[in-house]
Amino acid sequence: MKRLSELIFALTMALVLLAPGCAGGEESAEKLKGPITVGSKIDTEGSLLAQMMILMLRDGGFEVVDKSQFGPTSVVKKALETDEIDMYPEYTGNGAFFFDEADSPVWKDAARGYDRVKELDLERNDILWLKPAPANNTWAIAIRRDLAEEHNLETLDDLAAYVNAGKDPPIKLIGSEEFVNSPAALPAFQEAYGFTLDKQQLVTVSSGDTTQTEKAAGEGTDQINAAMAYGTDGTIDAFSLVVLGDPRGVQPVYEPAPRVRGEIMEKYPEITDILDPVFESLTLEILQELNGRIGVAGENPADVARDYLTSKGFLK
Amino acid sequence: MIRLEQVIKLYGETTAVDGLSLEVTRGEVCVLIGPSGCGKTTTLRMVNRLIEPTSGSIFIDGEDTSRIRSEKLRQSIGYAIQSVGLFPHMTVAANIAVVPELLHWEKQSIATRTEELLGLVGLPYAEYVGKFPHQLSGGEAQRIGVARALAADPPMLLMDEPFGAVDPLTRERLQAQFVRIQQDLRKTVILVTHDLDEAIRLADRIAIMEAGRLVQHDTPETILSRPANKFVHDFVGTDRALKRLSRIGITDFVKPAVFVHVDGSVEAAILACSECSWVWVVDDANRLVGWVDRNSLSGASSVRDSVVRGDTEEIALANTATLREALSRMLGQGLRSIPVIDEGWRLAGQVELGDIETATSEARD
Amino acid sequence: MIRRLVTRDSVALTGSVIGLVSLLFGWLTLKPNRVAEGTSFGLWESAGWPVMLAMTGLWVTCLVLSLVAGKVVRKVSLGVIANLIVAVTFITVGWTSGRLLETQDAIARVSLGVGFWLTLGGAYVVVFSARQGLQERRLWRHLVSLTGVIVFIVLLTVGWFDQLSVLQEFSGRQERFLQELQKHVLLFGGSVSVGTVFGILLGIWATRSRRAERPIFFLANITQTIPSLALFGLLIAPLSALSFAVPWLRDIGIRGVGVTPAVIALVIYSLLPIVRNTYVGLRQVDVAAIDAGLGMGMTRAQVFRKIEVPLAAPLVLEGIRTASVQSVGLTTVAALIGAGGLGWFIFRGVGQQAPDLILVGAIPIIFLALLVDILMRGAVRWATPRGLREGEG
Repeated sequence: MKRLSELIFALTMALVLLAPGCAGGEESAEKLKGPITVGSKIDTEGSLLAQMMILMLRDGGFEVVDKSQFGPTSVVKKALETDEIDMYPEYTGNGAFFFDEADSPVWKDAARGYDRVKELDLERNDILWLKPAPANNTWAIAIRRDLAEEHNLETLDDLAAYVNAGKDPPIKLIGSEEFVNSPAALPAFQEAYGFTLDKQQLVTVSSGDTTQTEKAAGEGTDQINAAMAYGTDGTIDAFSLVVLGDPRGVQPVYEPAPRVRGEIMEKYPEITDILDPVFESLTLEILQELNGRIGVAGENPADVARDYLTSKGFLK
Repeated sequence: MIRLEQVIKLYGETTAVDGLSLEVTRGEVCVLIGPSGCGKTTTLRMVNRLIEPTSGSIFIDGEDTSRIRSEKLRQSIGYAIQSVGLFPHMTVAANIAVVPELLHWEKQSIATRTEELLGLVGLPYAEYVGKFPHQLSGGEAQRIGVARALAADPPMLLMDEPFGAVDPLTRERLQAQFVRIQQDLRKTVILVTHDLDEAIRLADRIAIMEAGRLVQHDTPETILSRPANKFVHDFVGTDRALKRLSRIGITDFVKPAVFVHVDGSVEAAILACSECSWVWVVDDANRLVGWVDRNSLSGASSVRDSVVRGDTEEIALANTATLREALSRMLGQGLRSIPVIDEGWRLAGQVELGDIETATSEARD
Repeated sequence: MIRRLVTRDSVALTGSVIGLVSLLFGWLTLKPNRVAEGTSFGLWESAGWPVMLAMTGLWVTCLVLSLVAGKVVRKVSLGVIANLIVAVTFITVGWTSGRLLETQDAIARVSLGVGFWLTLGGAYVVVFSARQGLQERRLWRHLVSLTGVIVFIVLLTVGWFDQLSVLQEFSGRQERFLQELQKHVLLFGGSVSVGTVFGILLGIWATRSRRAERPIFFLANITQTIPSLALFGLLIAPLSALSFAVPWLRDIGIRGVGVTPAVIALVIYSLLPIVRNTYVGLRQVDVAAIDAGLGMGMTRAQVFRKIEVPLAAPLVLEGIRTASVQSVGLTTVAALIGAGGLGWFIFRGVGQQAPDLILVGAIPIIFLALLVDILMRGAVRWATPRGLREGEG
């Protein structure tokens, strides 16, 4: 008898743990289209864009499964290719690496880069790219605002001059392994603007998350005063940094756009009409602000997304 | 009742049992004995088919055992082994109930039978029925093992060194108990042992094996007095006469003993000593206290002061003892007669060396 | 006489020392936003002198008590005081967090400081010591263990801690939390269940076949040494290739990333404890008992069912317990390959430089592991036949 009651207790505990998930099932009266699974990378902007996509699709009468913040780029990419997810926001510039065309100059141009990646993805993977946002979330170097104001540093040309003149305090830059070593990143800047940072002036970390690097520069950890950053980072302002301009256009253009499985697009071509106008409305400044609300103020990405979409009239 | 015909067991190149033919009649205790590796345990385990013979047949009550389903066969044969193998997670009652339950006995019958069996092996029912094996001493465990083997009242028992794993004192008690139980139940028993004294004490007939073959199959007396060959002769040993004595109980040889009370008068004691060299001294409950002789009494003020108090256990014999023990005590204590006591330590009589000599010479002829 | 006074309740002594030291460290950290570094506030700054003195007094009492002879009464008072410290800690932390935020912006955050964690740690070290000395008095033992936890749960439910950054990270993500919690439970529960089936079968096979024993243990041992993240990652490539080659696998949900590789890896990790314990459990069954069982006329299956299973069960369940607790932790990494689970919060937190988000993932994982451990210990006790319990009779 005692054993039986203990068994029942254990089963009840198990049910209690499982119940919440079971309860959150679909309960819509009308028949929904789909389901469509939306994923994203683990970063802040990815979660923001994914939430926008989810909200818009749901509003458009689709049943949507939220698999945002699925994992790092490689995992999310694989997920799309193996039908684990149906779409996610990707950057046009990444086409250079997906299709091994890093040397091609086409990526420095927003329109041409987009056309190229769209063409290749459709041809090789049956994956479609929808309209991109006009925000270049590319690699940049951000430096401390006080340093910039003191020495009048606005662009990377100014930085090169500062470094070459050997001024004090020396520039110490923190970046990911990829940023520091990839020929498309720091080496490209150095070559184009004619300056070099030696080993002591570099701090390398494994993670590519710019919040970490920006925080280091913002707090002056280990005398770091420059950080790898992305154009649309919400944390730049929060850490009192400024992004140095890239007048020579060294970096490829990285504009976010939905990357969708061909099969889904064939089935539901109306997705284009639902998502395109939203992406087209997202400028660099808007993304910076929205990212900041999520990353710095700690707001829920879904709330921030909904806020924006309703304020612009995309959602009622 | 049990008949083995030309049973052979081969393990690869090795012959464990080599053409063994043996018959055990109903109600008989047959002890298999021999040096290590002679095949006695293998033979035993072939009877209940825990080991399958390579060739040859075994018949029980005329039926070929290979024709019966092995589980059914084993359920009709009691099985007790040296390490007992009680199931540690079951109570004594549950252990005993195993075979009856396999045979679908009714609960009430099982309970009654359990009570019977515990009484048979001399363990109080109320105290032991709910105990677990780890709470039992070695001797108690062996007894429960035997009770378990007897649970379903099988006509036959197979026992493999069932009294081997306990100390000599307990072993002796267990053997005595076995003899008593067997007198009551008259089961057909095949028992394996390496202890010749045990064989002599328990067997109706002994089967001596060597290298897988049966060498001699006779009563203990015959084996002791007429060993069939040199091997048996050496195996039995040169103290055959003594061994024979261990089969004879002292009950037939107990004579009335002369005794005085410890609080009796010295004069009466001296008087009693006149016929024999000494007298036994008892207390009011008739329990043995010691002995007195003429020397200790001379100049003594009271019997109590002059009693030579011995360790009663050292001197006195239980009335269940064998002649061999009696002889051993006499030699050890340097006495020509030994007092015999009953369960309450009361003086019951005495045994004399002369009577043992008579018994030995009779057995010789 | 001094020697007699200074008895060695070193455990409680250590706890008390930790507690006293904790008063020197930062109690709360105030940050202007969730990613910035903050300024540390000690207990006296956050809560004022009276509270500081009270806490100091409580810890000193603990210290003194742990030096005096450890009679039952002392153990009880140590337990009571430790729980009192825990209660005061929780109450204070909720109240002071609100106080610190009064003069700040809406986006400012308050996090728990080192001092808070040390205080809790020290208090529970003392609780542990008190429990040890209260073996006989079950009621007091349970009171000592659970009072602090109950206070915590009550305060949590009434929203006492809502001002803390941890709770704020949580409140914005409640639905997601429940989803990931459910995924976490399903992941480790499912994989341990599958692992149990395979593990027990492999364990039985290893006991029955000398030839199979070596390779089985070799495999089980080797897999245990592979770092978890590596194993998860290694499975992605072959599974993706497989799901490309065989499309209907994709349709039923078996793909290269996500749940499939996570479950496979977790099953592999849970094998060793279960296989090993099944093997040992069956092997340690008294050979004589099995022989007696067979000799009495049980079939092989009956011997297995009635003798081997009950006697091996406690050990097998111990193996499952080990595998379960281990799995709760390993499932954390599953979030990195898209399988979800509470690890998701941890990795988000790391990426966003928001340590309190990490806590939202880490603390429930710890509680889950503890809960699983307690439940499984109960299961082991339930499965231990009365005849085998030590200390009885």
